Amino acid sequence: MSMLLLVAIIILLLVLRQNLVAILLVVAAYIHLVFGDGVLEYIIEDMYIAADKEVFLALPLFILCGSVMTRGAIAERLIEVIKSFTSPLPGGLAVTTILSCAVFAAISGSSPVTLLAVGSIMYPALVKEGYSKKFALGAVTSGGTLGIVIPPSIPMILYGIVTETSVVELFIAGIIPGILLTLVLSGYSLIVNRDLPRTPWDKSRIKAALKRGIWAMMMPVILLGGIYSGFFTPTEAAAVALFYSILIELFIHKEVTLKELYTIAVDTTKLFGTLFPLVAVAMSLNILLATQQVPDMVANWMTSIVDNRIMFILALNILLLIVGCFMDIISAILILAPVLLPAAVAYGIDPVHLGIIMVLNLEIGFLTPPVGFNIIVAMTAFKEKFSLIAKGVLPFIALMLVVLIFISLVPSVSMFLVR
Amino acid sequence: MNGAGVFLKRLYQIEAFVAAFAYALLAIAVFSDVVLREILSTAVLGTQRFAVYTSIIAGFLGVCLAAAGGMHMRPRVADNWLPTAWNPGINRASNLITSFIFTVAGYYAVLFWHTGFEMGDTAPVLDWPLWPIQIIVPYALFSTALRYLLFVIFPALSPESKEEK
Repeated sequence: MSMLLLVAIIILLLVLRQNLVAILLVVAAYIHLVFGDGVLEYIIEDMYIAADKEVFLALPLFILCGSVMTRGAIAERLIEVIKSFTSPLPGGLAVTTILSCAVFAAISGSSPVTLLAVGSIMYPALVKEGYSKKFALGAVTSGGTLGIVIPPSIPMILYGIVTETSVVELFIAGIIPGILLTLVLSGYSLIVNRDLPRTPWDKSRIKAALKRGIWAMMMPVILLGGIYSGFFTPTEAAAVALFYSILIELFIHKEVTLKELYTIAVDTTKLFGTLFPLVAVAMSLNILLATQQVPDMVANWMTSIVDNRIMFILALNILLLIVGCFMDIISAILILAPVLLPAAVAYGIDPVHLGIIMVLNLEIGFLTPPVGFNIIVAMTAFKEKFSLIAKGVLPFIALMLVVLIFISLVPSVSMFLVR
Repeated sequence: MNGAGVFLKRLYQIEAFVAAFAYALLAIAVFSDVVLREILSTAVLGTQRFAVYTSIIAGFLGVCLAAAGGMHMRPRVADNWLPTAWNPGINRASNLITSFIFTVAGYYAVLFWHTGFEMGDTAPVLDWPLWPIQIIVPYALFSTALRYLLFVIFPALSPESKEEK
């Protein structure tokens, strides 16, 4: 009865157009009052405790870093370097798009940021070079999702925070799946566009692109090299990358002014302000659920109805794919990860591997209606119809599903570099 | 623009300035910690802690700024369940309920802050009293509640109305 009332309250709040923070606050209050000790002050205390952690610092720094790079010239110069190398290939510009998304993903950590930064340059270029609109939209919209698979990744940081899993290990585990996805999507782009005209190698163009792009190319080296060598923690790497990007945009590329930096900081604060209370309230809710042993109950229930590991992984993937259709990745990770973790561990799935499976599933959710966040971003950015973009991403979704199943069933693909 | 509009604009400017300043301090603190450690082989005790507190200030002020910009994530699954003609009324009711929820949360935030103040809680490593930092929690929740309340009284100020225009 109490659970039914809770569902009714959530539906009522949805009808009354409440934002997610307000809904989570009400849900947390209800659980405290009905199932817990009734002390609502604990919600605020847990929110504060959640925010009072060093690992939390990586979030605002990566968001700010991504914003600086999107406003500046780093994306454009990286694309030019990749383009100069891939143009002799059949469908070279399509490969440039996917590779540019992958490289930009290695410095941004966000899917929409990658889509906007690369897509705003590559979509007009692809259409101009004779690629079909459907393919071009599919490539930039799907390629953008690499932003959350290839480390650094904001959803991976969130997963690490809520499940207390090492963010560095998650980043390392994301490398091979990220490369695999990039190769598969690039291979498809080559095959589909094999009849399009090629541009011959141009050494002077490569040299000029490298000269212009050298500072931008150093960015992923500093960021990822610093993290993987153990030189920096992810938080420190984000701070170093931020200062590096500010320095090169202000003094070398000269694309951003000090006044614009203030605007970027305020805009980023707003973006952080949407994430921050969600993480804090969700953490508060998770502490409460853990106290009530809800994740353990879910784990026991699942192990009683699903009798083997492979069935569990398949069921997990189906659940996450459905959730990805209706929920944004941040809410899905914050709400589901702590609940699913004990069940996954009971089936012998490493928490790091579970993180990668979750991110890959929810990455596909960026492309699936009705939420399909990247489709909506692409609609707004490129002024194209929803149906055309949805058709364009279909073959990419199919390929991503194949990679997802492979990575889910073969843990060593993700865990090889971690162990 | 009416008095409430001017008030919200000034409030936004002040909160944006403080949040951006906190953000800058956060970045400088973490970066200087790396520079001091890697280049000068030294460290200033408590830099990371200091960065965490600036992040808390920027984060909670971000809640107010996101409310001002209508940026808080909202599930839209039930948006079409009621007739479209009711939209203006629903939007006002929605803002009123949000304001109420944040006011209640603000009340409990005051209790939380007061407990910390009474207990004399101090920051680990830095040994600073925590209440001047923790006061940001009730402030941000009440400021957000006030914004939503003003959106109820002056619907033209709400981000939804600005979007529709």
